[in-house]
Amino acid sequence: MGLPGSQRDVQRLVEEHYAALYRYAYRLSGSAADAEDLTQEAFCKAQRNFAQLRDRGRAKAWLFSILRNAYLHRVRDQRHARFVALDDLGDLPEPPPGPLPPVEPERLQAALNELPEVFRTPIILYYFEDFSYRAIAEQMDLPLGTVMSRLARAKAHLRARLLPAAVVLADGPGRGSDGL
Amino acid sequence: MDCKTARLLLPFLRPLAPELSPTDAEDLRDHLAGCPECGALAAAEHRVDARVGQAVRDVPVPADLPARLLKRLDAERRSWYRRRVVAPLLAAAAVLLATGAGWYWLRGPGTGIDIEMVAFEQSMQPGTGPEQIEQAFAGQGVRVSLPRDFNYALLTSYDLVRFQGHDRVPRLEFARGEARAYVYVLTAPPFNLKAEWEQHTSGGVTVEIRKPLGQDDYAYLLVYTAGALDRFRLDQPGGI
Repeated sequence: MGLPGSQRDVQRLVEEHYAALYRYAYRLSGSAADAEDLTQEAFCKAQRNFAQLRDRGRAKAWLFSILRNAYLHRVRDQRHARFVALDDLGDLPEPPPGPLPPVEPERLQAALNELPEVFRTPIILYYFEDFSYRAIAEQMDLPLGTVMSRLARAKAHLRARLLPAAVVLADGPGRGSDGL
Repeated sequence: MDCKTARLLLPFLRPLAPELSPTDAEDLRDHLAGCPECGALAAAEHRVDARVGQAVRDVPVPADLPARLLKRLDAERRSWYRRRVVAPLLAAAAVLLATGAGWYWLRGPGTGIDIEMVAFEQSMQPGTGPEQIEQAFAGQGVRVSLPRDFNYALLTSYDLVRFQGHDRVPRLEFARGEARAYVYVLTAPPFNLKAEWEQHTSGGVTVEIRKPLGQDDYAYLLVYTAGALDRFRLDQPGGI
């Protein structure tokens, strides 16, 4: 391990990215306490390994990647958690016509929590908007096609949970499976 | 662009993370503008994504989170410096100190303490005779013959002393009341024992040198309270 980043560099990193990193951590973990722990852990690792960040323009993707690894490290013993079976979902349904119902925060987080991490991460990154499909694929070290496929399934799941009227072409999502 | 292609490319038309080339994006927008079905689908998709995306991003962030993060990072940084910089410096200082102390101990001006010699000097036991003392001296590398005509019951100490520029000269000390007698065992070399000496008395102390009969390689130098030598001698015939 090399020298940690200078105090000024790390402070800038925190100021520019703490909010996005915390939101990402919150959506991944589903809890404010875990989100703060993960954010702290990610910044601590970033400080220790600051020399690895050669392109400051990629700082956000780098931090998100560190945070995801920290999260995966924490949940690796939870492989037997029960997630929805996305195979039971059909194709992405067309959106319903007319006004959309409001999205309740608790239902949104519950729906995200039902997704296995390999589906949850891309859909969160997707809705953070400034992550391209390619950036998501790099984050997850997956082929672009796999990311697109997982995104479509995750979107279908969220629409089924949050916008029930839209799910006219799909069966209801199954429960009680280990996932995919 | 036909409807099938447009619907395939629709997911890639993202406002903040453009995935299409400018040409493809322009062709797609032209098609959506001219095709009511595809246009309505794109608008609906955008509406749903915007609603869900807004909800996903809508996470309240604690106001004091940056301060807590910076505090923790500062503590980590200090800990890092303690482990990686201060601790090695302290270790190096400790090594230097130990080396210096070792050098001082080895080269310092103080005289080393010979524990073995102290034990030897203090090993007087009641009834110690000349044979035991000769063995003790031999154990120190000094082989001598001690006079046999002294009363060793009056012996108070024996040791190896420095005498007239030479180390490790055996000396016996006898005491009886206020009277004292010292016997130095001188050997040749380093001492020249071929000379003849006369008895010398000064200040109540008598000094004389006696050589055992037929021996030129060692002699006894006697220092005793004037007139008191006989009080330390056995009545048996001696070798002195």
